[in-house]
Amino acid sequence: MEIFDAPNADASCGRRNVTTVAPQALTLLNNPQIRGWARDFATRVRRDVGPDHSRQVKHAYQIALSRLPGDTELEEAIVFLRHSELENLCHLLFTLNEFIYVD
Amino acid sequence: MWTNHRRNATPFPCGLVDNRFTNRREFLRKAGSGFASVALLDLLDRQNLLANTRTHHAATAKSVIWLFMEGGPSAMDTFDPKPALNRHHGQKPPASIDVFFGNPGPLMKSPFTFKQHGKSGTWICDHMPHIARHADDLALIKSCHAESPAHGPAMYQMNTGMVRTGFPSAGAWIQYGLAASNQELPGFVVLQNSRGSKGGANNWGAGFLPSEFQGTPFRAQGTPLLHLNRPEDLNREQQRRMLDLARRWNRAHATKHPGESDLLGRIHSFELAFRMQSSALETVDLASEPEPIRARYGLDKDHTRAFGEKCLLARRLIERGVRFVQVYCDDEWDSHSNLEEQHAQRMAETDQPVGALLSDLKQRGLLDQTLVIWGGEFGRMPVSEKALGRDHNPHGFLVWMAGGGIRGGTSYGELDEIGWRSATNPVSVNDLHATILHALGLNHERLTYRHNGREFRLTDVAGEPVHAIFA
Repeated sequence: MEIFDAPNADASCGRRNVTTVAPQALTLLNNPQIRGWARDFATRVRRDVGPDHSRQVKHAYQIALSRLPGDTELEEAIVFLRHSELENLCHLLFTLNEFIYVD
Repeated sequence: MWTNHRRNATPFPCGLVDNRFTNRREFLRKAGSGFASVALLDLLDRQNLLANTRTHHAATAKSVIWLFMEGGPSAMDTFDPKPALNRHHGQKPPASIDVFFGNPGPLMKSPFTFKQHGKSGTWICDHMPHIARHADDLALIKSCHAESPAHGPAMYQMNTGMVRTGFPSAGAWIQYGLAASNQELPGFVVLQNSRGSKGGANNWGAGFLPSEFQGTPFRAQGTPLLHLNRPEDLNREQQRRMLDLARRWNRAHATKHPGESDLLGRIHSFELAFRMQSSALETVDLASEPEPIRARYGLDKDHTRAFGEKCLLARRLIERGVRFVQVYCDDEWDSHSNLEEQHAQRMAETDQPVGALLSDLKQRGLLDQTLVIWGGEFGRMPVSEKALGRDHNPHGFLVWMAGGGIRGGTSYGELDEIGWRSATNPVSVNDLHATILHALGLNHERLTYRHNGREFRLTDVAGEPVHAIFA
């Protein structure tokens, strides 16, 4: 957690630091645990809605972002899934600013 | 509080200030947020065609290694011996001295012995034989002074120019001012204190500058960077495709949240992370260094290994074009109770690695283009604390610089006779920052960023480069 600004226990922490640096991005991209979660997420989506790409994208969006994709997003995601695994779409949802930052 | 203060429309006594389009880069980036132009903008950005590549004057240094001696090393026990303290040891100080923790003791002589070194005859404590070999490379700035006697604010001031938190660090300003010369590594790397620095990440933060300019901390122990290898079931092309779509969606999201520099900073961090995967692995691999080099930095000994690794890594980083590297010592120089023991320990840990760094840079022809800075956030008092220690002293301390256009074997300014206050040619933190920017070809008065309705500088409204220490 040190990479994501976990406070040092030696001193009081009035407010957490908020940093956005490459080591955090590397963790989200390459950490085996996060990749594992992306695989589990994809398994759940497939189990819930089956093989249809459009339904998969809508369901994954709903779970990860609590909303349905817009028309453009849906179209782009379907194009993406023609060349890529659902695992990769699920993984990329974890990296989105919208996923990380609460509005 | 602070974060809100620098975001969006900023509440200000004179009304609301909209800082959504705060500089050319951000303006162009935001103006170009339509999908068609995104790729072009990124391409331009990567090649730094948008960046401010021109310096204000000829630079004497391309990069900076700042050896940050956290906790406050004592001037009179390292590079600035004060014979008057030997004469007046045990006596009441001439004036009432305001110490941070109260109860100042009598004047205390240095527990260490000193010798003169080099053609310059520079006095250096006998606990630093390796640095002593470089006496003629050093410019000692003996008359530094700062504003806060407390570590946190003093750290912020030394790093950002302000004692309050939330301002851009020197490294962030430099990244803002100068284009990166390596696209596959961060331009500002922080090799951290394994105990954590007082004040934390705000010491290398971007403040109100775009957050992509903040320093990138490497891990203080173990592998400096984790997760540089892609998952086995994901190849480079697939990952690129993933990042392209994520970037597209992140950009669309960012246009709905204008003024949130962190969102753009995070998009930038993923692009940098993608590029780092190919080169950073090699950069941080210290095992690839020949054994004699590793030994020279002290990697073969327990007490020098941690700082030695950071110094060696700093050399590898600047060799690959990283602009600004901060190397924090481990633990602290904060010697309240037993200065002799605590300072001797810090010197034992850092002397050999620092000496090795200077020799290594010189042999590789890199010292001429690398400004090396040694110093802490303040110094220590001439009077004793708890009989054998010294308390914080922001009124007088020493910083040295070497390489990067600096005239070695010189000194500038003097403290008073007992080493308490800056007496001759005082050098403020603003002056130190102006000097660093000057070496990099930047005029501290012209490196500005509009925020809260006015132009801000690293040096606020003061500062003058110490021209006398340049060759």
